[in-house]
Amino acid sequence: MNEGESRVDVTRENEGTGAMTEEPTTADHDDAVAGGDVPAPAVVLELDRLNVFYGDFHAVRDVSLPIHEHEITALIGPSGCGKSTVLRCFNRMNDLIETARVEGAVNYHGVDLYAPDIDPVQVRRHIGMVFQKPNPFPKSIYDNIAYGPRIGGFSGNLDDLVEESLTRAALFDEVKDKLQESAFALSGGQQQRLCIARAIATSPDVVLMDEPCSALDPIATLRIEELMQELKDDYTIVIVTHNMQQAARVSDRTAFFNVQVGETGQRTGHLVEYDETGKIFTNPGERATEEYITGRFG
Amino acid sequence: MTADDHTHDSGDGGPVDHQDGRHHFSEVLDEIRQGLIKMASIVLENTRRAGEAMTEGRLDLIEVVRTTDDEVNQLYQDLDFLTFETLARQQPVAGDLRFLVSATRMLYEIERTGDLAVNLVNILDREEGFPRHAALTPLMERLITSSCKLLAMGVEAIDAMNGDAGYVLDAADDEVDALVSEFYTQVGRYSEELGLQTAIEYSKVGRFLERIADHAVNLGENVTYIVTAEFPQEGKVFDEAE
Amino acid sequence: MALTDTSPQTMDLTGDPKRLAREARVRRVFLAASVISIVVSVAIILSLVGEAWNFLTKIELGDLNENGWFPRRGRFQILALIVHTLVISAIAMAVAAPLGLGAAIYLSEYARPNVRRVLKPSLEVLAGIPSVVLGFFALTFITPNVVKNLFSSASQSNFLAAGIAVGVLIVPLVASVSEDAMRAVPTAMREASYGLGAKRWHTSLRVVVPAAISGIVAAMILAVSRAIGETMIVALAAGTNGIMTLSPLDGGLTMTGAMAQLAIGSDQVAGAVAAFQSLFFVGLVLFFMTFALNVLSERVVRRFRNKY
Repeated sequence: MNEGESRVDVTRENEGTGAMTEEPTTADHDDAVAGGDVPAPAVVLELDRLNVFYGDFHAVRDVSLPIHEHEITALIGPSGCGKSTVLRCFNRMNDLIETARVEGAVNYHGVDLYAPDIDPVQVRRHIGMVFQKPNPFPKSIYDNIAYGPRIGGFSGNLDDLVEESLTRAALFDEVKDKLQESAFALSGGQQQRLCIARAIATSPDVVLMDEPCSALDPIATLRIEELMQELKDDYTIVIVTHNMQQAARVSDRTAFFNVQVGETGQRTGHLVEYDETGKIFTNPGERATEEYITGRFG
Repeated sequence: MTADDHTHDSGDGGPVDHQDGRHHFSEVLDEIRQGLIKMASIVLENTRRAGEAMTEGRLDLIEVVRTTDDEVNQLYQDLDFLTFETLARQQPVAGDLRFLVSATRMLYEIERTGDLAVNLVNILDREEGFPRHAALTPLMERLITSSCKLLAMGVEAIDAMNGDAGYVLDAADDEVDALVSEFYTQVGRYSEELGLQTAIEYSKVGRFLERIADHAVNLGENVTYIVTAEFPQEGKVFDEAE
Repeated sequence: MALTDTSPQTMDLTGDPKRLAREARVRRVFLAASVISIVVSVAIILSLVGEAWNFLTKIELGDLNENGWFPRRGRFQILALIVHTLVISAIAMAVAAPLGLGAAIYLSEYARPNVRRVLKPSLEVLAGIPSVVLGFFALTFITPNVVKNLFSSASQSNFLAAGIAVGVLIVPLVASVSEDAMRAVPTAMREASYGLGAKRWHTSLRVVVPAAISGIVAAMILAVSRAIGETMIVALAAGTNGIMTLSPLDGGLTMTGAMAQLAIGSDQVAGAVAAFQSLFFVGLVLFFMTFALNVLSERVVRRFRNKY
């Protein structure tokens, strides 16, 4: 595994959220509104001709995709289309998989995260992640939240940080009297909000969510969706979801991925369409997109 | 009966209801409702303006009425698009669905009413002019007032979302119908004096004003549908308890 | 099939009697297996208790306090045996715990799959070495080359060599059970840690080990049990000295060693009244110790088990 003693990279702590120096890039599809009066917000993360391989298997082909700050961008598509793989490229989580190989660039505030001198450990402190099934540590609620800051050498007031993270995740009121209790005592929806609080405790500016609601009941799901809308004021959110209605409700921009079966029978994922969510769900540009979101296939 | 929890509270920037699990969605619904009220209010004002032009022969108001209606049409497009997109994105059911579907209908009604105001001033805008008549003008004025009153009630209904709106407006429409009837009779009586062309124009006025009132009634009926899931029915009386 | 065939009257819902009888027979066979196991165990314990009681009635209780364990001379200081056993076990754990746990962490968290494929079987080979070989190894290699080099005053038979050898014996046990416990920690938990920007050792020590702690503690307790019960190595390398001593550089008789001596008959002398029965007494004490350890292990596991 290559997360070793690489130098500390792009320490962007002092730049705050969303460097305004980036020109809004218009990728393959028009990001600007039909009418083009309001320019798209600055680009925080950008995939540039990203290709992902697992050994010989070409999992994801040629993805170019700008993520705009303070927006919720949803990645949708049928299973096997590579959306989770793409998501995990943003914070170099694919490094954990032995056979994974990435070509192309992932630019974060202009810096390629896959450059040889970039330390994935540092990357992950700026780009946080919430996973499909809530996965709190077998520690107290307090220690769960404090984990990230502690290993990052946080020297401020931990109590305040924990309280603030829990408040932003809309969980503080429910747990303020039991911070020392085990995280496992919480319900599924609460545990997932705990995981969100834990992720934002390291003050990332991007939060990646890999199907965050798929293990939750509908009420808990709606609460998390509401939470996401509140969080986007402070963070940029990229979410993978297999529930396209969720993408319709929650996201500002939607990217539709599809599977292509090659001659050898290999299933490779690629980006079909990327546009404002309103447009995707009222009048998508590609036929494949329309067929997918109307449920005709996939 | 779901006394709509979302459509009658926080207007603009009011306190957010944290019990509302989808308050961003609720805000959009309210935005559409406020848009309907605004659009209908503009049309109401424009109709009164058209009426004033008719009764006082104010040719200067013709252009104002037309320009205002352009504004109305733009609002129509924007709100229609927003409603459509919300339907696509939010998977509304029950009261929310009734509201959004009714909103598309009401947008149409309001937009047509706006067009009718323009139609009125177009009559004024004739080469031959639109001669006022000592007996007909006061009647016309009463008719205009009556129609506008109904339209105002329609705007009120969208604001208050009261379940009996359809019934109330339907009853109030009787007054307009009576006035229209009387108006036609009078026009008929004076038709020779006016000349055929002018008489026809006058009868158009009556027709337009009647239709304005009908559109207003439709607004009320849609409100009843939103609240009670039923359109007002013949011979039925509105029951608060439903 | 025509619809009429499924009418309630023609459907037989009551079950085939032959199958039911067969199921009952099979159930009885399994029941017999468990009953027999329990019965045998109970029988062994009862015989232990019986003979131990026999022993206790034959001696005077003061004899248990005598200086040293010399059954031929009627001196039965059981405490000496216990102390010697514990000294060796402590040394063994001091060797096996860090080595075993370290190996487990490496195998579970660091090793690439192809490295693991080689390393794990190698560890099991270590587990396959007969204890007599290890005892010999302790006697002929560890004592002269390691112990005597470091501590020239050490005696030929000493606890240190025996303890090291026992430690080597139980390293695979510690490593294997600890590794299983750690591998049982869900990958999702590690991902959460990495996702927060943790380095690998952070994740291993601050997340995986705590999550697997009940299994690791169970492994340790299991290892202690094994160490306490080890006979061959201590018989060869720890010597036969019956006087109680705490120094690792000395040798001494452990509980298992004493039992072996008695069983082989080197202490069987005509006229030595209770010598042979003391074997059962020691056995009973040994049994209680390992039994207590098992109960402790279960309690610990239950208390610290995390339900993910």
